[in-house]
Amino acid sequence: MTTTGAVVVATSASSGTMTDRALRERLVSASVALVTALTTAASWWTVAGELAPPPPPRPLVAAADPLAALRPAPAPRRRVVVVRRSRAS
Amino acid sequence: MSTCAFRAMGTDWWVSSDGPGVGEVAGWVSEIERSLSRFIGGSSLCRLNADRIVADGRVAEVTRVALALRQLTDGAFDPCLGATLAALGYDRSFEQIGVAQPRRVVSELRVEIERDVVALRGSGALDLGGIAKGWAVDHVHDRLVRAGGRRVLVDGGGDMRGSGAPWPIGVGVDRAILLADGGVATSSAAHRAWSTPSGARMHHIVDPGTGEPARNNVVTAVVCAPTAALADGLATALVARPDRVLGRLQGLGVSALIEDEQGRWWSTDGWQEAA
Repeated sequence: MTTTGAVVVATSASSGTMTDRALRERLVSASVALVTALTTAASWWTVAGELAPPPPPRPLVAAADPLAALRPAPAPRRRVVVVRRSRAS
Repeated sequence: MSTCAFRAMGTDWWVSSDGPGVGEVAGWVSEIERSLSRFIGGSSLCRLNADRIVADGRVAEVTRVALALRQLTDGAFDPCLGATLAALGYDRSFEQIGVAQPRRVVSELRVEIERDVVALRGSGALDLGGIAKGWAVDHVHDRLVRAGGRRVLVDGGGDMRGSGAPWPIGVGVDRAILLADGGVATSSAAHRAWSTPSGARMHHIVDPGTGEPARNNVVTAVVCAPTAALADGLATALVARPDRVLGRLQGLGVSALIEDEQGRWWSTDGWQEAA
C-alpha cells in the first residue's frame, strides 16, 4: 500500500498537475489542521473535566431475585401417608 | 419385601426391595465410604488429596460425574472446594465440629482423569461430599435391580432412588411426592451448620464465587431428577447459586421445590405433588 501510494504521488507530481512544493504545502496544511483540531479537542475535554461535576456514580442495580421466575408452590393438598421422608442431612 | 436399616456415610440408611441382596447393602455402602470419604484416614479420596494421585475406579467415576455436574451448573456445583470447606471449619466429620475458627485459603485446583487414575494439579483438595451419597444411593439401587428387584427404594439420609412403584415420599413440610422411577434429594443451608468463636454462623454449602457459605434467598432445595446423584448435586447447586441453576432445570427433566428465607415455598415447572 505504502509503495503504491508513493508511486501515485510521484506520477502525479511528474505529470505537472501538482508540484513538489505545492504537495508539501498541502500536506503541511493538512497536518497543521489535524494537530489544531486535536489540540482544541483536548483542551475542551480538559476544561470540561475541570469545570463539570464528576459523573454521578452508576446506580446500583439489585441482583434479580432468581426465585422471581418461579410460582408459589401450591398448598399441601392433604395428608399423605409416606414411607420415607427426603430431608437435608 | 425385605428391608434393612443401618448407619453409614454420616447418616441413616434404609433400603427396601422385593428381590435378593438387601442383606449385603450395608457392606456395599461401607466399601463406597472407604473410597469416597474425606474424613476416613486412608480412604482413596484422602490419599488422592495427600499424594495428588490415586488409582481407584470408583473415585474416578464419581469425580467424572462431579466435574460434569460442575459444567452443567456453570460452576455452582464445584467438587474442587475441599480446601475451602476445610478452611471454613468443616475439616472433620460434622458431628465433631462444634465451634471452628475459619481460615483463608487460596485454592486453584485442576483435576485430571485417565481411566481409573485421578491426579490433582495446583493447590486445593477434591471433595465429593455434594454427590457421593447420591451416587452411592444410585449404585445400591442399580445393584438391587440387577439382582432381580422390581420394587426398590433406597434412602441414604434423605437422598433417595426408587423404582417399580409410586413410593410416597415426604418432602419439605407437610408435602409429599410420588417417586416412581427416579431420585429425589434435599439440601439445606439450615443443616450442617456451625459457629465461629465470634458467633458467626457457617454452613456446609459454599458459594464458589465467594468461597464463603452461600448467603442468598434460597434456604432449602428439594430436587426430583432421573437419578439420586443428579438430584443430590443439583439440590446443592441450587442452594449455592440459584441464579446459575434455576434456568437450566427444565431442559434436564428436573423439577424442584424451594424454600426461601421467609419460609415460603416455590416450585418450578413440572413439580408435582401427591394428590
